Amino acid sequence: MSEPATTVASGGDVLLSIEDLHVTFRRRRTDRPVRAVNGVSFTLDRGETIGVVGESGSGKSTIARAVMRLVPAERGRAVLDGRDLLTLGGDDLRNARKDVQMVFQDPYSSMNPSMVVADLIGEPLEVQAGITGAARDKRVAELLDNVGLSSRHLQRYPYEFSGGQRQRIAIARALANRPKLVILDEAVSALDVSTQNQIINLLEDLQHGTGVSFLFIAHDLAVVRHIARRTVVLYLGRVMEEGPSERIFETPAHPYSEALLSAVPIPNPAVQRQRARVVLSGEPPDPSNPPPGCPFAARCTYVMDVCRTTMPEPTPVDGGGIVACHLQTTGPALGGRSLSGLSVRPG
Amino acid sequence: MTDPLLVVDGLTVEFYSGTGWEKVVDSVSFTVGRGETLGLVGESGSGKSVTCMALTALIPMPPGRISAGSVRLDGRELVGLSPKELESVRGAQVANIFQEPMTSLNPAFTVGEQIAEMVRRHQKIDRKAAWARAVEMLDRVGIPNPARRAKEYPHQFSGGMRQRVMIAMAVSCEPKLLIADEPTTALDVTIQAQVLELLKDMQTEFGMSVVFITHDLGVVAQVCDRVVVLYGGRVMEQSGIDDLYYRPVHPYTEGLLTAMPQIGPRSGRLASIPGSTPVPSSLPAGCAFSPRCPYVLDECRSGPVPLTELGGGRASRCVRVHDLTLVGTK
Repeated sequence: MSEPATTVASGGDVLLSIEDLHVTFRRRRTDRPVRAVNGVSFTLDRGETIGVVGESGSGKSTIARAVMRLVPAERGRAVLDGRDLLTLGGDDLRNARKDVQMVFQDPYSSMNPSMVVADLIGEPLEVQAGITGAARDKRVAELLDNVGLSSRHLQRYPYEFSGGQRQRIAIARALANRPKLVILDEAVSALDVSTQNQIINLLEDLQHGTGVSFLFIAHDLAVVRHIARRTVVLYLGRVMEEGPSERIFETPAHPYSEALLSAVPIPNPAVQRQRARVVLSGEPPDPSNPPPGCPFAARCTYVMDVCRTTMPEPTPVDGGGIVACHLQTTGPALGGRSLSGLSVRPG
Repeated sequence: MTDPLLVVDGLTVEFYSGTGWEKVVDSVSFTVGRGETLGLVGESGSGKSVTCMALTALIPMPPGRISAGSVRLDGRELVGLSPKELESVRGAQVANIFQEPMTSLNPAFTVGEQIAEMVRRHQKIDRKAAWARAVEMLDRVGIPNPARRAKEYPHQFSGGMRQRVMIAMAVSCEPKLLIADEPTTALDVTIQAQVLELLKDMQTEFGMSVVFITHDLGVVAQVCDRVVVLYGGRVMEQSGIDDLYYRPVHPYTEGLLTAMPQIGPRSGRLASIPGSTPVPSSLPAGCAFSPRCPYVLDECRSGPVPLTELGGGRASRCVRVHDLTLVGTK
């Protein structure tokens, strides 16, 4: 069970490899443990964007926080360029932090309101890279230019900016020391759609220019479909399905991915009216008291007896990636085909 | 449409900013038919929430004020009613649900007590009957074990269940109009789908009209019959649902539609509207959208642009409404 799940052969140059990551929270020692992340594995290539999707409580932000060392991992590894971020300490950790940066949903709460932009972006340059004085100012100006702001914004405070501009500042700050990986945790979720698209286009430009990798966490599937070459679908701390975004969005192999996609409202009234939808009943189970077997079993339209007792092992899918579902191996035995291969819908 | 339930005419809401009165909602007019769902769509700062709060005078006054306009519900004027009169309208005839139910529910009372209080406030029934009604309503909105759950506090419910409680409370007095302000924005998509379905069921069951406020054009396509598009506190376009998506008549609507990311195959760069939404203090002299509009002419900037009625209940606030062919959803 603790065997790291087989991940898709990415074929590229792996930057980050998350292996059998477990994060467990306990409010008190006597409380039942909440297994927020329960054996998650995936890899991210250099210069690539991977999308992590799932509903609240699926563990997507916790994975990010564990990689950033903001919460302790119970076990597992997060190997960035050969170094396991989860075991580093002291100077090694400080050095590694330069390589991994994070952008949060609400930039206002991650910025010191009494610092001007020049210092907000300049501080990591000084602290992490020892760049000061004129060199610092030059780099700050360059970063502002990269994110579509200008040097006339240097002496302004966070409150003087719109939400979209603030997110640009947060991105400039994250990129200050040329990190290898930027984790974007719902970074565009609070923005209006037109601003959101500006930021997504900016992220894509920056990735082309610098080769940075993005771990893009979002609940908006359309946005993930656009920005991420590969996608990980999480449910209750486990990977349900993972693989090329195109494959997952066109022909999902896991009933949860299918239901999630089917729940997304489509901005087209005629399509919306004709659409066959899987409306899931119920809600995700309590993470401190998860059911035995597959965590999705209680809401799954295809549920079989085995699903309620045994957690399925990850198996490869045609078209790339892995899926953890008994439909693949027992029952109708899809053997790597997508759900559309099912002629009869059990359950 | 004969005899609409709600007629909003020239509604203007201002807020005092310290230096003067700023128009946040500027001469907004629309109607809502019986049993109809009207969508109010716009980005942040468009005035969609303030418009709806103003319908039942829920805006803080001061610093706000309704400086002009009229709101008629079933023929009765709501602007200028006394606080006491408004209390008999709110909840009984017009109910609100909001994005974050936790801010509308009292954490110190059980949900059953809160629904029962609401019922007792508007109907002459005793405590026991009100409690029974609360349990019945919880059952109708799909809360399992309603008799037991009625005795629980809001924090014991999940986000989706809390929104169900809000809906139960909102429809418990069978209002004529339900105002839903981004009711599913904070919910996960699978829960959103459940709540939208529930709202539709409740609407059919009670024959309510709904004003649905959202920024999500996907949700609009699913729930609305007609749509009013707001920008900078003004109505930009008003159209039936299919017209809005397939034959938009305002450049801002076109911009919003093209900016919606699609689930389908990846297609190059995402479209976006340049610039950002205006704040009331810096609205341009002419059309509010003119600084960001790809079709802008000099006359758009020179003075106020009137709303042009196009027949069939459609309207557009664009000087080029007759010479532009805009692109909608394909």
